[in-house]
Amino acid sequence: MNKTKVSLFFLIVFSLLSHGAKAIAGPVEEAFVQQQSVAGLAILSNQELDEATRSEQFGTFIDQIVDIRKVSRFALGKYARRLDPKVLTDFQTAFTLYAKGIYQNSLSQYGGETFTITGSIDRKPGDAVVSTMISGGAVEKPLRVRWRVQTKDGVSKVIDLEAFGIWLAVQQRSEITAYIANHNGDVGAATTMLRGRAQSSGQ
Amino acid sequence: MLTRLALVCSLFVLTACASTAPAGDPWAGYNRQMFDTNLSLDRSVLEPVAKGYRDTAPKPARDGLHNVLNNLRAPTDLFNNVLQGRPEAAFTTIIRFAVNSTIGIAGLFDPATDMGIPIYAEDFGQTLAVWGVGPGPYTVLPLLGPSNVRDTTGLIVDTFTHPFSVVRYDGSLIVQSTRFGTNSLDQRTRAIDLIDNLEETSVDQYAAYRSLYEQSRANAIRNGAVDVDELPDFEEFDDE
Repeated sequence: MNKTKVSLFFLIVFSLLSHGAKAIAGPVEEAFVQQQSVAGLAILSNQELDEATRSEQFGTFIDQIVDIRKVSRFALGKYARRLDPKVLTDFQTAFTLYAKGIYQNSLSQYGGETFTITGSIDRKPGDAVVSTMISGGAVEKPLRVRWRVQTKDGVSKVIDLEAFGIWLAVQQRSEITAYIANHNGDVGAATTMLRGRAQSSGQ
Repeated sequence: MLTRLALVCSLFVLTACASTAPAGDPWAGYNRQMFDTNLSLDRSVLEPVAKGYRDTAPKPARDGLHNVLNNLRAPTDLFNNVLQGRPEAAFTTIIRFAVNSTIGIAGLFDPATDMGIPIYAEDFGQTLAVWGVGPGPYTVLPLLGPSNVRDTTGLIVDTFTHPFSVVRYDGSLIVQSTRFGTNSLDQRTRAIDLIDNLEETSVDQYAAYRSLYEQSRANAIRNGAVDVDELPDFEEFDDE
């Protein structure tokens, strides 16, 4: 996963929080967006928070809006099957720290963008792609970003994001499965690598 | 000319065969070696030149070069929009070329964009895809980087529709080489930050470039539209 891609992820989150979005997706997704807008905006607009506290609260926020456990399993691709539970848990922990570290390091790159929901498509019940347009601030030209949101038991979570045609979770899976394949199928090697990356990013 | 035609024909055959093969990277061994070679060349030559160019040439000059190169692509865009049965895009490409070549002073400026005339960039690889030809195996080309059999075929065909290739004159080889060099410099300069970030954060650089290429090409072929049916299922990755 590269910083630009995760920066886009953060940009979407930031923009969403900054501009009380008018959702036109299903009612469940709309409620999800509205509820999280309030929480996220409170974190990012609170100037009284020091960097460490903001980082911690933002990490919690990511936990709330992204199904990072599912995304981390998805990133393992075929290696997620029949995996020892402890190996899987270790990987998910490392992946989560790694992902959050990059999200947070990208925090300072954006601000002042305008966010607009432009439409949505239902892939199937409980699985929708919501299209958004981001403009202003650090964005030179209006940027279309799509969210893939899944709703289960009344709870909505983001599972993937797309900009310039690049789906972030798909990209992560390509890289991580290639890394595991190059290490003879050893998921633990990927866990170690991700843990090291997370530590170097201050997580 | 005959050599190029023969190469195109053979690649067509390869593409047709490959389109029935499972998607993937059967040439990964060669591809990774070529990727490493390209990366070494980039680090030793292209990257420092691109960064020097960015640091010394003012942005308006760099934008001007980019605009000229883009404008020279118009015949290729036109050709492929026609082949894809997109008359409105083809007509817009003509208008855009006329505006930028005149008001834009031989393409140095891009008033067409300011007028709201969009660019419909299309290449023959995309045209083949629209015609139903599959991508074939992923491949890394010497110097040129990520591609696949279909897009490599398209790349060769597109050279026939570029004005610098069609017109023959003394020194045309030098002009074409210069165009290749400036185009590479322009693209590399515009990708400096992206590539720096990619090198810093990617888990597997080769896989990162491959995925970026495959996804961005699929997006270009769909002209930016989303096909929800092509998105992967996540259900099997629910917590057990």
